[in-house]
Amino acid sequence: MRLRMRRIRAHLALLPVLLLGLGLGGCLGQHDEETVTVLASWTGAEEASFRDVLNAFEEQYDVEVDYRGTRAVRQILLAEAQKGTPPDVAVLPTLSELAAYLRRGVLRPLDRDPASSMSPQWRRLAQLNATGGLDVVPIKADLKSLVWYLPERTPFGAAGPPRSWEALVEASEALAAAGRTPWCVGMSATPGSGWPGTDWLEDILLHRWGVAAYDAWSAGRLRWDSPEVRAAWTEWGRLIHHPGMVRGGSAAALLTEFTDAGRPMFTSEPGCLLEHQASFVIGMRAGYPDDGPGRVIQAADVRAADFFPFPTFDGAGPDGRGRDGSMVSADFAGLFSDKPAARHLIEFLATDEAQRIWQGSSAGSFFSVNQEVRQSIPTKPAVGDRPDRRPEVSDRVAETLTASRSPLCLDASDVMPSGMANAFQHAVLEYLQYPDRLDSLLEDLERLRAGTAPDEWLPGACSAPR
Amino acid sequence: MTTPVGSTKPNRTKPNRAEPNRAVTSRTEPAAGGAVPPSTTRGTLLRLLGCLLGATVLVLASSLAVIWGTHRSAETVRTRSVPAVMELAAVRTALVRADTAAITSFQTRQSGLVGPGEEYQNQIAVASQGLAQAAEDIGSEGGSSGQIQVVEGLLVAYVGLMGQAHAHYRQSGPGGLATAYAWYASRLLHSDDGILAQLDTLLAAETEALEARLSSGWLSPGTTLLWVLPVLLLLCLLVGAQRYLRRRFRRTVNWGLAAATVLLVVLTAGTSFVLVSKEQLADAHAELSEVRRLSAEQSAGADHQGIAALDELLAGFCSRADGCAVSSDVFRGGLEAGAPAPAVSAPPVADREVLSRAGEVDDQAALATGATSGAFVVLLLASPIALLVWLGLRPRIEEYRYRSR
Repeated sequence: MRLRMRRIRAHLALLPVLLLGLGLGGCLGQHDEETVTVLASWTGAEEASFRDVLNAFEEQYDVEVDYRGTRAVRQILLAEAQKGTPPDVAVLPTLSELAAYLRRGVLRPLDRDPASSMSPQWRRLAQLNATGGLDVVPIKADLKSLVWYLPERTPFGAAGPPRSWEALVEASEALAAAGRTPWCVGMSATPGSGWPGTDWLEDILLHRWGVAAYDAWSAGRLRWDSPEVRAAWTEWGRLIHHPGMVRGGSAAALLTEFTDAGRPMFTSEPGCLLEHQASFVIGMRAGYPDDGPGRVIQAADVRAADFFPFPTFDGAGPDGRGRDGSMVSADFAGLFSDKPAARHLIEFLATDEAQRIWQGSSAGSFFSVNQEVRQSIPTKPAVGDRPDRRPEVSDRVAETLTASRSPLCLDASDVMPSGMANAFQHAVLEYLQYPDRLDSLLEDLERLRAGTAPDEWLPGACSAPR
Repeated sequence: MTTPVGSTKPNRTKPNRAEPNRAVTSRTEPAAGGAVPPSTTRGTLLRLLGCLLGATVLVLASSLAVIWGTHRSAETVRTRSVPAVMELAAVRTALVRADTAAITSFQTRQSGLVGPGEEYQNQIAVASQGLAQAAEDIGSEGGSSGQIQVVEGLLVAYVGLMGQAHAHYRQSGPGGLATAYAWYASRLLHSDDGILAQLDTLLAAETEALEARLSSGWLSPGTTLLWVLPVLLLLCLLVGAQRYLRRRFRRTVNWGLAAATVLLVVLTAGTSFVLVSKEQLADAHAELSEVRRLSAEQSAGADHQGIAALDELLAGFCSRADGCAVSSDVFRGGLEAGAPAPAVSAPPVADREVLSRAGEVDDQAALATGATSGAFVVLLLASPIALLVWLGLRPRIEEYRYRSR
């Protein structure tokens, strides 16, 4: 009897230990389950804005988010995916790479569309499969087909900014002839130098040959040595290789970082007057001003920057249709684990609520694909109480992104297989320095296109409004 | 020890030398009621023995735990944390030297046949091996492992860009794309989120991890109490037992307990080697900081040479007057803000000096683990404490096996 009592007492004594163990185990398991790892490229001020959104998610869902921001996001994702330990959520601008992860089964398909006011045009752009469901979600967008200028410094005359490519070239030549360098160009962008030049070529191809040719080319169905593609290169060459057109000529264009290319536009003695760059340049320019009397760049000049859309070529397109359209880029969030909390995070990031928080904290450099998220929301000032931007400029960008009456086309370099896009960038640099090598460059690119497996290409890059 | 030390004074509570005879009597004359009442002295002795043995086990266990834990931590610091920090610092220096060598070879037009040069190749090899070794040292835990993969990935891109620079040099001569690609490579190395910045982040994280290891867990100051308190407890018990036995049995010394006390002192001295080990690790850490300082000076010196060569290379391709100063000015401004130019009067840091200091770090870390190894031996030698306690008290307990008091 006594022995039995002892045993019972011993078991009772062990009970708290067991409960403690179970409790700890439960807590540890729950911690792992309720922590979502996120990998994206945003650092500095961009990271701070994104963290505001993540904080809202953490509060609402009682989930911890472990965010890692690095420009080497592609390398890290590749390395971690190969090790079998990818982050729960990764954000990439290159749709082709996300599609490759989906084919390999690393990227998890989303079960349902997130509840958001994403425009149907963007929904089609983000679709990676033919079944209709979304596999990735665009959570931040930028408009690419823009030419930036300072209205009070650029003498376009009463007609205003050029509305056709021919008028743009003519205006550029007139400026150059008057001793004023028209174009600010910077190709350096480590580790992917050359992409600002690919944007030029893509815009020219789109606005000369129309959406069908652009779509076919970005999907690997149009040869690199075709008349359409060759004409795009030669048109660009006609502009940038013309003496006096580019600040510092090809050499300066090769050596100048894309983030610095626009600086001379704002100096008291402007070094150049026009810059072909995407809407994210609004955020980059926050670091330009050296305020105070006698400084080189005044904040007021930076705020005065405006843009006009990349002009189309005169006349109807080759298929009789117009050549209107805008190039866009986006950051797409993809799911790399089966954690419900990770799925909730992607759904949350796409909501109007999250997009409004992001926009409100981004000093005017954030653009959404959601139609209900417009630029009328007041944003945090960049420095002190100073307005960081002209709201009407951002409004026009947002209008084009979410309510465009013309097709939107993703940056072809983000849609092509990464090897092809990489070679394209190198070719741009070589053409800039050695224009006489165009034939051999196009031959090399074509060989690469022909040798790329068909399943590595996405079906297209453009989406028409409906 | 069993020889009674007599006293002529009668003692009502403590047995004297005559008591054993009385004990024999009591075996033949049971107490009223027919049962022999339990001896309170024997009970006290048994309780004392229990306490002493319990405390001995506690002392041995806590000493073993502290020595083992300190040894393991010291081994981790010696074989992983310190080498990782030294490898990463060496990788940083090697990369800066490689970049300087490559830029100089392009600037002096020596890269026609040999490319960026033998020094570049050697330093890249050193950096690659260092990264691989650091990855092994760091293991797969924490964020540093992923960060090393990023650096390795970026290093591949860097080598690719330098390779492009050489290919264009061979194809088109100096200037042109050769200079542009060399510039891209150098920027990839030096930019805000470039390779060196990633390495600096890694170095900071690993140094922080090392400092955390040195001040927490088994190496934290609090662990001393873990073995000192049981030792003090056992010491008090041994001294108390000795005094009790002297009072109760009129023995001057219980030699078993005295020998156990001596062994306890030896054990304490041995276990205190962990303090020596901690001291050696702190010295290794201080020496490591010096290695890092010297290594950073070497990097800065090589870096400023490289930037001067890069400036000349760029000027040869596109002069400042032609509008090529924008990015290079921003770039140079950022570098100077991050790493000021070394004083002109300061002599360059020799490799020999860095290697010598690194050797001292290794030696100090090895001494730290050596000290804990010595503590293990002492612990082994001191383990018979329990036996001595048993031998010291057993005769007294045996005497009271059948006694009522």
